[in-house]
Amino acid sequence: MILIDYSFLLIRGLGITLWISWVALLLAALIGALIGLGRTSKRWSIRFLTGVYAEFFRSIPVLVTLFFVYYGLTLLTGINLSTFVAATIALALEGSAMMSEVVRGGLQSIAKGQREAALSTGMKAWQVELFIVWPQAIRVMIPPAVGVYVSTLKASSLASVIGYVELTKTGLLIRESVRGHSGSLLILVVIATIYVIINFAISRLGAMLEERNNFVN
Amino acid sequence: MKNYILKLSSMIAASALVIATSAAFAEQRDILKEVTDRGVIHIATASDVPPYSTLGANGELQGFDIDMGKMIAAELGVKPEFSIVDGPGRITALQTGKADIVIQDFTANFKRSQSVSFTDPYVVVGMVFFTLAKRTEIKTLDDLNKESMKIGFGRGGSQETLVPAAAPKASIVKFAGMADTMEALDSGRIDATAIDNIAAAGFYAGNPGKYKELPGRYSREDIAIGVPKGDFQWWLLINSWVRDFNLSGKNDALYKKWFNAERPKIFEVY
Amino acid sequence: MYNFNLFFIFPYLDSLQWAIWNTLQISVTATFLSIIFGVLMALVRLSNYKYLRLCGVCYVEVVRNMPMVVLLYLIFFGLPSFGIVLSGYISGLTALTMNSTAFMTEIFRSGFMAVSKGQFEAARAQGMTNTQLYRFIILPQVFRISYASLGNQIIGVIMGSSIMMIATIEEVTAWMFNTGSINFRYFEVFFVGGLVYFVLCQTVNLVRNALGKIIFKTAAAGGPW
Repeated sequence: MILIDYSFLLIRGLGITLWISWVALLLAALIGALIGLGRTSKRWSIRFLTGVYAEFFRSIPVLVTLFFVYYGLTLLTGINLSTFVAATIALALEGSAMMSEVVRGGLQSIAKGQREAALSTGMKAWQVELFIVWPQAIRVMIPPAVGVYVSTLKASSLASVIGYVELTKTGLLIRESVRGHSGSLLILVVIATIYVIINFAISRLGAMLEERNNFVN
Repeated sequence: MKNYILKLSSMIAASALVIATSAAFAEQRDILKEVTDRGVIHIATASDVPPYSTLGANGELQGFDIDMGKMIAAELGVKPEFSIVDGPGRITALQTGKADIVIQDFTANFKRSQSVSFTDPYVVVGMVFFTLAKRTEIKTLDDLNKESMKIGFGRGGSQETLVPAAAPKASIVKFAGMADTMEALDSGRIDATAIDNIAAAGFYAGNPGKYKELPGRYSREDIAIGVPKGDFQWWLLINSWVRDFNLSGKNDALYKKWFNAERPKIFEVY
Repeated sequence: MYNFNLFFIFPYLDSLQWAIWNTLQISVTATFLSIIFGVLMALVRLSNYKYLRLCGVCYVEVVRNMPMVVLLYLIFFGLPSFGIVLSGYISGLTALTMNSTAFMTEIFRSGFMAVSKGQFEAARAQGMTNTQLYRFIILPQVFRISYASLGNQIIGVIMGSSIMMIATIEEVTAWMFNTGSINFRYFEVFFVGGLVYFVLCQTVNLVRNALGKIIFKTAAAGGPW
């Protein structure tokens, strides 16, 4: 089978996809945590601004954000962006909107009673947040965060449109090479299968984590 | 309701702020210095237009354009670094400095010259239409110039304006790239496609007997190297390389290697 | 110096109209179809026959875990290998609908499961037929429970329509790409395009909230709903 020759390229493509999604997720988690924290702030202005941020990135298709970062942002700032950096930034921006919801949900899920009880023992507010609230909140946030990772992984396939060689683009390039021989059906099915297996496995992992959460609680 | 109006107006305000601060950059670039300091020249090219440039099984680019790029890099004493771009991408790559030169079946024309600069041509081509050989009912462009006929091509190329001009009644279908277009042609999704005659010859050579070209050249296109606007020294340098390439016989040799034919001379036809 | 000047876009606003129409057309059709199929597939997933349920699960998991780009490529470029050559619009619509159906299935399934079992039993005790049961008791409640998620999914469909340019559908993102490549005013083009999507999504949000208030208000008042 011709495809065996390309297995190395496919594995590399998969690795690149997993890697860029992971980096984007970490960035998204960082930004999302800040935004999510802002969403629960007591001050209306902060809640409003962070709300605008989240709404904005959920109203623009990922592809458009990607185009904008790759073409438009470079024009604006004059900094050269490689396809990798542009794709990572775009994916992170998109993911941060989702992560901000996850963080907000996680923080709000910690019963108010916990905070009040901790405060009444004489702990300062920041100590309460750092040592009591966040550790519990993070455990709650992990299952939906896995969902965001899957989402980011799927969105990473759009990076192929700006030419970043991740799994989808690898498949398309292989398609061009074998076009004379077998048509593109086989390679496309292979690519699709890889995505389905990987995402399904990751989702299952998230579900397992969620069950462990409930069991422990 | 009020929340939404507030959000919308703040969004608009934010965008306005972004635009206002886009007093971007008007620096005079010294590309030659950048390239030699870096030790690497960034060359943007395509990956799906044989024999100008294709992606081999090992992930390496190869083709006429690629060899040109390597020759230029060697002359400058730097390493070549290729990146793959699409139709619109090659313009932005030059505008933003992502690429120092673009060698990509790039047609020089006035409109584009407002954003980027072109060297002298290294190849002159004309746009041709071709279709599957088994479509015996399509013999000339007149057969294609009907509403029921679909002509397809990749976005962002010179075909965008040339094809509707040549066949105004035909339906236009735009694809993400030449690879997609060729696949569509093979499956009968479109009736014909258009590209310059040399790229077309590349497709014929790779698939003997499969395609048939319709008579007539529907444009004269100077295929040249694209360089960023604004650095005259860089343009002079690359242009003088192109002239040498054309005059010294290097073009003849490379042409023969990739196109398997004698290189036609470049005449100015007025 | 990059001069941001929206006037460069004016000559292309005409084609933008068509692009917006294409976006809306495919989004609305896909939404409508995927709601219908979603309800059906949700019932399949909840059915009493193990193999039927398995089919449902397979469909949802396979389609949900695949990026829509890949699905579109499969339909548009893969099917011709079987001799099935669908037009660009039909291919795009199929991909968008298939993708959305997978999510709609899950939304409705949660909705169905959230309707307490007691409802089923009480209605049957009254002597209602299955059709009456679903039409008057179950579906309205499912609809109400899933309402918010439905709105989000509709927005998801509009977002998904931006990929349709690969299937040669000239929708808004394609317009952005085409116009940018003709006049090189990428920045302005992205601004206008982004604005269109933003307005579309916020409109859906506004309509959903307004409609929601009307529907739920009636229910709270003890009306037939």
